Amino acid sequence: MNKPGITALTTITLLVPLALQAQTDRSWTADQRAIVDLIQRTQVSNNAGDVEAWVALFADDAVYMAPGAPAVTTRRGLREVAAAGFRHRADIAIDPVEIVVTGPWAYARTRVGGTVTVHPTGEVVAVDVKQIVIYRRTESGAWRIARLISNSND
Amino acid sequence: MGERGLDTGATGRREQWIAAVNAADADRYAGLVAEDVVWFPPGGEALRGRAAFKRWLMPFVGSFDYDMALTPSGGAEAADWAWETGTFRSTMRPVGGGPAQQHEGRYFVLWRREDDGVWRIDRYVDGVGEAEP
Repeated sequence: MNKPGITALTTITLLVPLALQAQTDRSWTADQRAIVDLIQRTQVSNNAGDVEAWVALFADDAVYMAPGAPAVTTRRGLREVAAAGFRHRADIAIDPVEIVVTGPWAYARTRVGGTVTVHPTGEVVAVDVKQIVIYRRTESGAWRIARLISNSND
Repeated sequence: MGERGLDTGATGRREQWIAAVNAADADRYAGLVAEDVVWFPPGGEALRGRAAFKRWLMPFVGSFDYDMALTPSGGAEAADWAWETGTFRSTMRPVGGGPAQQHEGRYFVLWRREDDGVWRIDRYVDGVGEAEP
């Protein structure tokens, strides 16, 4: 690797922890931090194309509402949507804009940005989406996605 | 708290919402949203605040007659907020004549009961597309 390459890698390596630190510096409550963790796992499972990890983030009776597509209301449907969607390679970031918790319910407003490399053409498509996600606390205390609805900024 | 559909003060506000849209009454419509509302129009950046919402609304209200219907499919209430999802169908007829435009899709609305006891729309997002719940 040439020196500019090393410099770029070093810069990125330094910036990533700084970005994460900035995110954790916000004064989230324990519930909000749990939801931030869920958002981060949503991002990781999307980028890894991990169907089961993604589906596990949803409550059993969740409804997933993507624009221009039928609502998904079953775990089987979630697996099918994920299996189809994850053929394309995502490189996205999901940033929480706000998280509000009230009893067993919470909602988050998030912004999704990045790119998706379309299978099989290799076309790279920009992603600029805004979402509202409703979360429900399960009996075990874990938060799960109950409703997810989004639309595009483009 | 139930999750099948709202049966709260927010339910009555939903009917006022539909009526305001179908009457093309921008002031009544804007009065249904919170001062700090965040509204997610499809294909555009989030609108923040009642004033921004009303500015976005005005060109539509002045140019079209609306026939909007909402079909709620689920929701829940907790303390001073309530959320609801469902489907919408709307027909927009140009005031000056011309072909009508039809839209359908899903919506999510978050109502908040404010300090004056009135429920107002706090967050809203819709997605045009398949309308089944």
